[in-house]
Amino acid sequence: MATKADVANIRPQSIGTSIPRREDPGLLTGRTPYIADIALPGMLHVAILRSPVAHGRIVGVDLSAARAMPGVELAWSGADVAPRCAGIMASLDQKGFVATVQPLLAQEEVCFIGEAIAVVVATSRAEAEDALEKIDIDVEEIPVVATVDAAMTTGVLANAKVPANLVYRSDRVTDDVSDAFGAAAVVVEGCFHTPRVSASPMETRGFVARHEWTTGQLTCWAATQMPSFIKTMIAIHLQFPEQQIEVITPQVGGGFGQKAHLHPEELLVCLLAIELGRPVRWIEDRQENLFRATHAKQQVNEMALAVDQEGRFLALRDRVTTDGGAYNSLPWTHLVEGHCGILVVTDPYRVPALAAETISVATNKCPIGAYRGVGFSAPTLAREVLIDRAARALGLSPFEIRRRNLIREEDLPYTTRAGLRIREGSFLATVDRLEAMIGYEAFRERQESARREGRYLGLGISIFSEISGIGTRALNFLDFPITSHDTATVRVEPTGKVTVTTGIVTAGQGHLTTLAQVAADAFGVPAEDVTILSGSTSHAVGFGTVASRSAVFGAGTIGRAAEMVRAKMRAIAARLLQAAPEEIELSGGMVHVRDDPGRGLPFASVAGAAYFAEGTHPEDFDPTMEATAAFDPADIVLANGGHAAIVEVDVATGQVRVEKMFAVEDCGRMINPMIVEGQIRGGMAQAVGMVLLEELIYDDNGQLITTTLQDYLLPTALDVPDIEIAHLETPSTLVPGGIKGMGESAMISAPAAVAGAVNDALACLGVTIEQFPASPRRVFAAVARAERT
Amino acid sequence: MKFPAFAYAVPETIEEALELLASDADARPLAGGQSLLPIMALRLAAPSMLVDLGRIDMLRQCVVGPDRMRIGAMRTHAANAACFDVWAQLPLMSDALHHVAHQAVRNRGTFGGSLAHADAGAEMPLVVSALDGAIILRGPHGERSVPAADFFQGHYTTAIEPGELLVAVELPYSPLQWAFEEFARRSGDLAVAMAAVGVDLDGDVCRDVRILLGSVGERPIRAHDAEAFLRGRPLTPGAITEAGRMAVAGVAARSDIHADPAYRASIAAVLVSRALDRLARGDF
Amino acid sequence: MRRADVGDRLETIALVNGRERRFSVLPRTSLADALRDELGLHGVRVGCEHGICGACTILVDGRPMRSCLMLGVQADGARIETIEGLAQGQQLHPLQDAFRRHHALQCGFCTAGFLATAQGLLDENPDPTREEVREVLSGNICRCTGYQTIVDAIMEVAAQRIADRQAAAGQTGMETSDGD
Repeated sequence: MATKADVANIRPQSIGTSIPRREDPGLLTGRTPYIADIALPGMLHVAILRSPVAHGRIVGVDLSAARAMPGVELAWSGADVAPRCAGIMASLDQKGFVATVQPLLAQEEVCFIGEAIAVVVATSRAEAEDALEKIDIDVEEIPVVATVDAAMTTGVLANAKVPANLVYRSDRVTDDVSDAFGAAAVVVEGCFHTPRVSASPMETRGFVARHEWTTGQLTCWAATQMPSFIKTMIAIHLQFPEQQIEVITPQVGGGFGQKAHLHPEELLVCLLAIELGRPVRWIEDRQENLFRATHAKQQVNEMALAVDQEGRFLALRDRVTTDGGAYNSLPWTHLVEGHCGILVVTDPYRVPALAAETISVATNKCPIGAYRGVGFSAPTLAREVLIDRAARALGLSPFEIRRRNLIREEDLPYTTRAGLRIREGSFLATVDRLEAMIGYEAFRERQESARREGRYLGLGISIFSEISGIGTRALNFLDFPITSHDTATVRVEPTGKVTVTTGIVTAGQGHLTTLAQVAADAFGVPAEDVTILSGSTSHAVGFGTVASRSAVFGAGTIGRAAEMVRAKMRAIAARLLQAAPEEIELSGGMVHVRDDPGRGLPFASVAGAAYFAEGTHPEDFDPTMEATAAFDPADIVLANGGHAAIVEVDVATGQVRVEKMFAVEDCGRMINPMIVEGQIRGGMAQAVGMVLLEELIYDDNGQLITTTLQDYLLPTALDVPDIEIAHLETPSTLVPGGIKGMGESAMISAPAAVAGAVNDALACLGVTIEQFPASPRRVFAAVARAERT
Repeated sequence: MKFPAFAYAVPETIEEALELLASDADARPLAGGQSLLPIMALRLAAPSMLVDLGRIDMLRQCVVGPDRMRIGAMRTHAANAACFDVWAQLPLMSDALHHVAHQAVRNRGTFGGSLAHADAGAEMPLVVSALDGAIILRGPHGERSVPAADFFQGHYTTAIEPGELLVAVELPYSPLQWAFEEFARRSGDLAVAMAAVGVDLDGDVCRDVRILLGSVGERPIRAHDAEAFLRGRPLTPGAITEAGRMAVAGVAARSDIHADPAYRASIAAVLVSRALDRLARGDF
Repeated sequence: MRRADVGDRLETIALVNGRERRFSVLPRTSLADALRDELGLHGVRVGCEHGICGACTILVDGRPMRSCLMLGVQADGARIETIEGLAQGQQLHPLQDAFRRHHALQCGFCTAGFLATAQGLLDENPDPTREEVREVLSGNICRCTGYQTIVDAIMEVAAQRIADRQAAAGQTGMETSDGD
């Protein structure tokens, strides 16, 4: 029986080649529309009044002056919205998890700076903003929970609905590690703070809705990574008939996870369009994006690693605290940070014992959400920095200590203490390759001679195993009781061209190109003969372009659907070529007898026969030349690799400069190596940002201080170095073509490499850096402290 | 982040501009707009009228005299950076211009606009202070010249009176050799700290010296004690380090998210020392 | 004197992508919004509206400038070039073509700004080093590519232009010597 996990046969032809992207001409000429380019007749514009205080009770919101402003069509506060929608309910079927409801506009309590309090709709965004200034709000300030320490000690509640500020606590993996730590030759430990950062796509969020009351149709344009999810959530939250909702996704100007949520503004815009009977558009501005689009990565990892004389890991202990903000984001909740992190904290090493505890607390800050690499980045950083420290203590090279602990070929399949079954991976080959790329011995010599000149160079490396192509099994492993499959529809046209409709949307990853390569190989036709239709929920079902999953789900769904249509092509060809259907193959644009390409017919002729020549059909032939299929891999698909960074620290100022970076990636068979490398480089740039530059800073009153891109520092072309990349290809057995997912790995593991490099540069001074970003001020202070002691 | 509403006028002479400014107390001159417009987009300023100075040709003139240059307020940073006379006669300014924001901002932002805005982290106020320039202001009652030392009064605060217009800057040619050092989080960002250091060396002995710190205080700070210490002394490594230390001794430095006062002062000391070191090595 | 009261639109005439265009805008409208909303030039991308990200960079009188930090009314009498004017018909400009081949764009939102900056860079410095290219590009933020491939694309176009010029000069030189 066919199942959604069946792996169709795809023979790589176009797969594996770096064909240029078909998306590019439209993007390079400015012709491809993004959400802000959607302009509809009679369209109105939204501006949102956001809370100026971190925590308060709303006493009153006076909209009368705003409603009288020129161009204003409507102004609402929470009281107007509450009867229409109770808010976004973010719950998880997990013991001890505290669900939260975030109102679309604050009701009695406002829980963070930037939370929406009121909305104005006007004939232009400028007029709507003018009207915001006329809204009179009376908010009584109440005590603020600005830090995780305050959340756990003061007794003040950040959100009245979250008792003890505790959203989630888990001790799923509680090995007794005391013996291991007692027996260890070396114990390395630290308390690692990763910063609260913003994914900061260059395009901010945005949403347009049009409601036609005569037909009941609600058409939405969303800058989102999860259109199918948004559609269903609109139906549920607004009790709107789902069959009358279409969510269209124009080109998305980067998402990186931030656009993989249901945001309150999206439901609000729908309500406004329904109320006004006119199209309504909300384009987030950059300040709103910094205040209110989800934040990410803020964890404290108190980690310790026990190591024996030979450098072998005995046990790892980690206590992770997530500063999760005032609400849960849907669908990822607070679990997306610390909890996800501890479940992969030992991968890809053999760690016999793990004691991991995770706590996620509510604070009066913007809710956290998904950002490339999610909760994996922070514990990976802590672990790899500690491994380097252990290597130093034992006089081992950072490569050697990793070689002694990585999962080896003979260990596979290896089940981690958290319960993840690792069935494949080229871990040792990764280390060897990285070491060769860097030229390790030469680097140490260079480091020595630089040090004699008062210059501090450092090398950091990190090895990872990435849960890629995240489907139901991976989500369930991470404690998300969510089912996640996609569908694709594949149609062979009468002239032998192929049309694929997919639920996958693109935010710059090049899916229109890579999925065409996959479909081309499924039929043995050139990629130019394939069109990929995407971007509307009227096409196909997709869970979303998240979690490095689109290559896996694209190949899986297209492969399965193509297999069904291929069977029909084979049946006709078999009849015409007087062969058995099992003997028929599709390749090189031909449908031919296996091992006898001369005995064949052009693909287009067979397609045409299906449509127009009944005489060619076998008995009882069903000429539906299209098929829809779902896919969800049978097990967790794992990619792997490693990163390295060389930095120079100016100890006089604390400034860190990244000189060079390296990546080894094994994402199975690559569909398009050029695109794979683009994903790696982009993620590594974000890693540099997270470790050296980016930090959303709240003061003690819960005020966000970094509210412009002058304060929130994104890495520029001078901050990110040239990056050298090598590939290993261990094909997956779970996905057609041997493909694995990728895209997030650089943000999972490269932060650790940069952090390790900074620590390596300063190790000779007895300096350790555990708080990030490693800003000049922090590095300078750490060096100064070390000099004093 | 749309600009609040304002009236708009494009005078063609300074006199017209002054009349417009006199007619409306909340009117503000618009130079390159690279600082004013972001502030308006954030709705931190909402002038009733913008008086666009872009069509007043007089304000773009540059007069090269035998001992000083008079640079019109509306000359862009890019124009000054590309100007041979600036390069030849005011090398400190040439050096510092490389640190002013990015090319697209330098193409539009103006010398006068930057001085009138007087951001403590901006380069041009430090340069004008270091070179002992004079800022020429025109008001309804005529023109006056204000020495840089009196012009810059604080972060975003200058000696410009309501109704006055910054029309030009006079910069004397300095007999000193100058070095400019800046520390910023990223290239093009406003400075965390800057140092402009000028010396007249006889061999390695410092005959004369002038040291100014930028972005350390609310306005450019002259390091008199460090100057006095160096005068008549050879620029030895020890003296260079000590001069850096003295330059920030007792200075009440600013604080922001990038630097607290102590760190800021430490950086400034390093920059002064690095500038002196370059000068001692003849690398300027 | 050219002036407008609060709420009055001002007639503005500019040479936009080689054609004279007239539009009427409020003084408060940024040049970026004016180009997008009045002239339909949606290729001008608005990323931060406070002059940091560089996405809205266009050429004004041949030089890169932030169109979010100019007013629409200030385009009067100016020569404006946006991304829409870069390709010749359906023929991509060499910079566009190089960006495509080097995978110097992913989501594409910052790309128009980078192309304008690159044009300005090569006009001023036809033979830049990688470091000089990075320095000039540091005023534009890209969140997808990591910048390396953008630098590669620009360096390739610079090298190609120099080679073309040398070839042209060589040809001219030959003709001259033939004539002697």
